Amino acid sequence: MREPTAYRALALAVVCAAAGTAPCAAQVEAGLDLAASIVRYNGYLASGAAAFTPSVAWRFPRATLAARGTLLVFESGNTSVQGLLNADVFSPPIGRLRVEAAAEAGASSYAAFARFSHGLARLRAHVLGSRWGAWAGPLAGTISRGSGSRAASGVAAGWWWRSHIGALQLSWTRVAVGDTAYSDLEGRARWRRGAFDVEGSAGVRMASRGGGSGVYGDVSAALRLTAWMGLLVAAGTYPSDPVRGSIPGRFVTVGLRLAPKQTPRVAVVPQIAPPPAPGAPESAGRLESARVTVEQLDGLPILVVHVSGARRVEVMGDFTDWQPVALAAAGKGRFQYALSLPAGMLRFNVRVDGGPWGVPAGAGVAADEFDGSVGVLVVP
Amino acid sequence: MNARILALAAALAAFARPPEATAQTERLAGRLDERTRAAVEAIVDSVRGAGVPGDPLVNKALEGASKGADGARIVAAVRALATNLARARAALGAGATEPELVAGAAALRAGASAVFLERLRADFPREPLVVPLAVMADLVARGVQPDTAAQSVLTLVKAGVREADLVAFRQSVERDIALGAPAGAAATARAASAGGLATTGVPSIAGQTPHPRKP
Repeated sequence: MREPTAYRALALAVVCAAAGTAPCAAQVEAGLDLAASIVRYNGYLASGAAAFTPSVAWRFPRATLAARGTLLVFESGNTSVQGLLNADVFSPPIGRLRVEAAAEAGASSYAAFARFSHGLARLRAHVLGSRWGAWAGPLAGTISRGSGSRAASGVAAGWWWRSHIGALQLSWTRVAVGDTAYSDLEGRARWRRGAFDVEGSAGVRMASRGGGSGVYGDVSAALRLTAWMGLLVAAGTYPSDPVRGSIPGRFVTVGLRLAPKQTPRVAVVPQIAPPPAPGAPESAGRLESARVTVEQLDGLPILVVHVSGARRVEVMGDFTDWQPVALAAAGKGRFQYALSLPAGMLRFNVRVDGGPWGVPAGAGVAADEFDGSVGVLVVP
Repeated sequence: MNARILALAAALAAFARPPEATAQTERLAGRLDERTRAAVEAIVDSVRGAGVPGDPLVNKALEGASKGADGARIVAAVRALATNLARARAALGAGATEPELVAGAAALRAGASAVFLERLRADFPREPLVVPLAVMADLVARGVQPDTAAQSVLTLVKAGVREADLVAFRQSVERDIALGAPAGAAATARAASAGGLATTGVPSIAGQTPHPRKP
């Protein structure tokens, strides 16, 4: 059974978008994106996907309420459903200062398995000029996946500038979700000319612990065809989003936007929730991002631990008489146990940079008899 | 005083042991206190006649020592493992290898029934059962009900899947559970798609990532 919250949010957006007359008397913007995409998530083959993205927003003088849903249908027949609800309220101006309080709730489900939901609260202090602004503030909330939940917290700061032809924005965000933490530095630019509206972004993920790292970006364009219909084209890559439960991926999208106002930001970037490498939740620090494999070296099986940025990786197990043995660094985050492994079911633990002993991803996990857990590998 | 007597007894017993037994328990030297070592050696000696291998028992004691467990806890863990190894020996037969017994004991500890082991051996008298038993143990450890796990593994083994495919099956179930799927449903669904699994050409060694699929 899929996450009911996701369906409710999607249903709300569909109904409001279709009705045009929202339950609120505020200024209403509603739209529906119909798109075809080619997506490639990390760990998956490329796939075609049809995307249906209704959205609706009620805009008040000092507040906004927005809802958006996305239904993705993949080639395989699997579907992904997402719903997102945003609300924000601004204080009256205090000189150049305004304070914004915002809340976000969302849920997603993928295939018959992944269910993800989150709730976030955000507080921002804005300093506003005539064509520029800057903000900073904290965020906090909770995310849940399946039956477990984790706290999320962070801080964000940014700057923007706009003119009659476009806008620029720079932002920095630091987020921690459980043991995962990362920083995103992003730039975004938007350009308008006649019926064209183009938007692009580039970002880099850094100072990451378990959230991946690297650069990402996308570009999207909208061409107004009629007063209520526009053509959308978008392509790009995006990083994992531990808060909203999506894995990294890349996409190319072409679609139609049915809405009285054409805005370029393409909401049809298909995202799904599965984590790239489920690991041992009790492990800490870099161990959480470690992965163990058994590989062949000269025809013999050896144990390899992959963990980027580690200085020292140790293993102890049945094959070391349960004595800690430092693995040999082989470059590019590879650490190898020098001796070949015996066949059979092997129990072991790993620690990274002197941290706690635990079980890296890639191995089975079992409770040991000593109030801990032990990794299990099977070497045929 | 008692410790001295135990140490003396252990030393005398060492003369009466077969060489492989002495080598096994020598691994305990310096890792356990004398009392605990003597108790572990006594367990190893007592079950040898029943065809229970000593190395897994010594490994268990060493694991406990490295994890800072006290002597009583180590002895209890070794005794429990010895019991499960003996049960696995009885269920899998005299011809079972040491890795099979270790995997069988792990499956029994996880909650599998001895009947499952007997049935697996009866259906596959000559095939190595290490991987099926290890997968069974892992599934139960992840929350799959023992009966469901047993049925899933039997389904796959009877379908003729390779060991590598069993390992990939375990990883798929692990992934699905991590994504929020009910453990039993994940195991059942993945086992039902065994035909597909068997043709994906997944790697032949545990711990490697299965070939990607479409979302």
